[in-house]
Amino acid sequence: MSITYPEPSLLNRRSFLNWGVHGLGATALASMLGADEGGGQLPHFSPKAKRAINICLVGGLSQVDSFDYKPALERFHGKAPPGKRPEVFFGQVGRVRKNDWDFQRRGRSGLWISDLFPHLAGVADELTVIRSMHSETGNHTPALFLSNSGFQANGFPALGSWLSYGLGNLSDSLPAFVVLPDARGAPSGGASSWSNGFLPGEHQGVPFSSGQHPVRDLFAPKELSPESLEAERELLAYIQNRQLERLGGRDSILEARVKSYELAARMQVSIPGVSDISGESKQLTDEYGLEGKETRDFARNCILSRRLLERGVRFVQLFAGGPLGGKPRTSWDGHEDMVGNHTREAKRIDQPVAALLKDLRRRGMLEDTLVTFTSEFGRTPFTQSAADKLGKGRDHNNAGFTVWMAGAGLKPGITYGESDEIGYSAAVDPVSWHDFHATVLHLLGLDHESLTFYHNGIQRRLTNVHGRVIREILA
Amino acid sequence: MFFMIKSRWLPLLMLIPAVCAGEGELGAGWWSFEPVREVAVPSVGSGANPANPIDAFIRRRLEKEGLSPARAASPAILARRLHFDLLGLPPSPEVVDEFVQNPSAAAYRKLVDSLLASPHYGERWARHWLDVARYGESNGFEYNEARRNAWPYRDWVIKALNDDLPYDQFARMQLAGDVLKPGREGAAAVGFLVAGTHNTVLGSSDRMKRQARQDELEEIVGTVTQGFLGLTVHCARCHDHKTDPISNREYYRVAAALSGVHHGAQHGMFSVRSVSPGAMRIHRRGSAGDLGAEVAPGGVAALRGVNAEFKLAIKSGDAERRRAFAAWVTSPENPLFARVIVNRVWHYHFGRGIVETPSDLGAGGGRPTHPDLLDWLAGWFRKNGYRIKALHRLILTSETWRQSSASRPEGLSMDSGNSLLWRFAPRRIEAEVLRDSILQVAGALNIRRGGPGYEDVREQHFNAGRYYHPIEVAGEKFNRRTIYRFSPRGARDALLDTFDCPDPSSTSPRRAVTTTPLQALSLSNNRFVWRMAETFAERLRKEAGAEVDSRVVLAWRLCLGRSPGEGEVSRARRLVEKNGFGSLCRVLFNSSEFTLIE
Repeated sequence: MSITYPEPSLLNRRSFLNWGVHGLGATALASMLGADEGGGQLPHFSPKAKRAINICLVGGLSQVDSFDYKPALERFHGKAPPGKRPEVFFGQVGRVRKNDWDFQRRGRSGLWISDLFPHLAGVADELTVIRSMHSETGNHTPALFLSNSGFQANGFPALGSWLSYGLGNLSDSLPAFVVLPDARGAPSGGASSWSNGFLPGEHQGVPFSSGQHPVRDLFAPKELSPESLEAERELLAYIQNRQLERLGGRDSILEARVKSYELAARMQVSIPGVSDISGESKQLTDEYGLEGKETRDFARNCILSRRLLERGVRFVQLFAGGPLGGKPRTSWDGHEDMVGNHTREAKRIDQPVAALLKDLRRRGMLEDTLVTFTSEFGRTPFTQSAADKLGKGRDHNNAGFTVWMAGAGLKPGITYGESDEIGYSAAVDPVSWHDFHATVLHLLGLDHESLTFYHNGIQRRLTNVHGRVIREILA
Repeated sequence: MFFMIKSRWLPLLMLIPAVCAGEGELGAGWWSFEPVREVAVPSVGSGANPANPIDAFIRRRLEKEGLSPARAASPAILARRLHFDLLGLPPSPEVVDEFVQNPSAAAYRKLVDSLLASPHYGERWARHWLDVARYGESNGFEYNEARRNAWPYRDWVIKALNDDLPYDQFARMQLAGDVLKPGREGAAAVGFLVAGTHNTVLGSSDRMKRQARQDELEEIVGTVTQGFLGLTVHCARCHDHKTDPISNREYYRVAAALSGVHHGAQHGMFSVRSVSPGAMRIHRRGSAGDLGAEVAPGGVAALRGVNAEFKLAIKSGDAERRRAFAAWVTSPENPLFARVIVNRVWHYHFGRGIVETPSDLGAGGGRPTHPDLLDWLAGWFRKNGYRIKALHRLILTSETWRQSSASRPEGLSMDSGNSLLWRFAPRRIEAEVLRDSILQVAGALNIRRGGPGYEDVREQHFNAGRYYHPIEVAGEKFNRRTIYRFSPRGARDALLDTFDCPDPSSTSPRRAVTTTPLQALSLSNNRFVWRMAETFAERLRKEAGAEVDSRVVLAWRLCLGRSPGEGEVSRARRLVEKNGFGSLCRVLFNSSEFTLIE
């Protein structure tokens, strides 16, 4: 095509920022001052991580059965929880139940990890475990939104969208933010979990599905021969050049449109390429558990994640857990039967996630990739049952829970923060989602207070008006 | 925005710290809180003063910057622009021909009037308002239950706009229609208040329930005050507003005025359930666990000229609260009421407002590029009975709106964002307009108006939760205008979603306009587009006969509003020989000329 492209400064995402109102974030200011012309990426400072991946557990993982060892539970088992009566989501505070899985010290670091995650236990030395998380709500969907966007309501941009907005795209043929929903379905709230909210549409998470058409509308419903396609493109270019001439030879929207068609053509090549995992070695796919009945879905998504990251995708989010409810439940929401539920869910992801960490390490990617493993909230150390009963299930617990990170810029093999004696609430060095997000942004070179976008009266941030970078866990 | 003008943006950068200085700067005196000024129409330096006052204001400012307006757009372009602007649909070739043959001022005015009289006008402009009203047809959150009886509100908005209901009444009806005019119409109009999300999954404790209710009230307060007053009152829920003179206490006074509003039903439709509100108390730091003093319903005192004191008891009823609130919002003395709507209408006509944040005229929003023009328009609008159609006429007959889109080097270098309006900046049509226009061009648009929407999703129940999966649908009943699409939250359509149609989670006063490769993929490959291209090809065969060239000419006329050039005809002929007419039609749908308004 004969249209020449404008210089990137006219078109890149920052020109959108220039349309914002005064009180711009530092990103926009720096760009207007001429820093970073043409590159499209602008960390606020030198980043430790270039890309990130989040394994997002839906439904609520029990911390006291996985990463937060509480020996006192043995003592309180079958008794009423000590102290003031906790406020729980479904209102039932039963007897304390000790962990259903045994804990052991693992690796050289000696991190306590239970037998619920035997494979992850094998990579304990890679993990940075935060045992003092707390959340504003114990209500599933608002809690999931909060863990992703910093807000409980629908309509706020997800972390991946903020990263895409703040850092731009490393790939010119793949989206910056890719989502891999659980094979059993999207989490409750659906696409709202990877919404760009009020950020421009290009920052939305793009869900990849398995099969021939990983991305909707990637290919025409009927195959076109290369000659036919070329003939269409030629006429299109001719019409558009005429229009451009009429408009004085220069127009940024028109030029951007032409460019978008070229990028689309490249995506048609690169997306099927990245999605085809048949070229991975048998040894490697076995390590992920691609042949295992329980593990294959998540193994496939983990392998695909690595391939996406290798090719420049900025942020991949894998959901471990589908819609809430179901019989048996299709998420970590173990209200009735912790042992059955968590065994089933952990089995699906333990081996693939451990293999992913090992694979990233071997390829040297863990040096500049951040991996996070999060849960919308935890579960109560007491059972969801009548006050005088020891039940089998645990209720939602937003007062205290555990998440972990691994990879770029972190001190590996350590824990940060502590929950109380029975693992109910965050007690020492509590960490909110805003703190967590501030830390993730920091590791990726972004200042959470400067990454802003004006919306409905406020320069919005991922961290609202809160957030503290957890410097203690940084390498 | 001044910083778009190169010679000025450095000084502006230096100003930013002062702009963000915080409470020291707050208080009376902020321009938009002062009464609307009587402004004289300025005279321009060169030649006779323009007949339309808008042009005098715009020209005066351009002259000051050493810029000049563009020449007028061609009649064919103007006819097309008018149709997209007012109806959201392309013109028929006959209408374009007629105007091109006689492009007189009188013929132009006649064309404007005929479009304003079309029922499609209301369908187009209601979409803008439904964005502001964050109108969606499900509850959102975990259960996301459908609201299949919410459409009477959508239809009410369409009808109100078509009837040119004066804007002050339009506002009053949406705030208190069920009180002012009990019955179906009033119940439909207040659908506005409850069009947003509603969480039906609440915790077991009383505190959790009260907190959820406060969250819901914030959502309503935020939408109402931004929508009608350009005020971000919701920002004062946990503390005094950071940039505007709105105290934490005033937030709770406004919340008290609306606290009888609950999501529910009236007259068989989704609407306000009025509940006796009881005393409102300040929630310290927004927490339902930390209650402060009781407050009576009221407004924001910093707005000069209108009394924020409603003189209502702390325990007054819902009806009197909302009646008083609606009167305060729509008072002719309220300095924000007229300014906000004239700016909003301007925004939709030009692609950007005189203040570029249409729902925020506070210190956190943009500054007016033409403050005198804004006040002159607000005063004019009020004097002329709050008639939105009259405002359209005034704007559309201005030379400013009728300028050509051609760019010029001096304009681009001084004001690339076109904030001074030295041309009509081309812009992409919105997602809904794109879909509707494809249907219209293909000859498949089903113009059936009103009633329950068409559903292109399959609703799946998973325990109490609802999922809405996009499904492939074809047939006349799905070929209605997109405003009639059943629109549950989080269940977006591939084509609409890609083209920046917002999920109705919060008020969207200004849509993002992006250009992305996913749009290119969508428009090239989406099954709907393919199907419509075939339908369009069939229409060409039926209406233009067997001859290839005459079909090509008709294709251009229907799709692009003009006849093809010689080079286009010969190339189209070659493409059709190779690929058939469906292929040609897809190329036209994908062309910038189809998707941009010039």
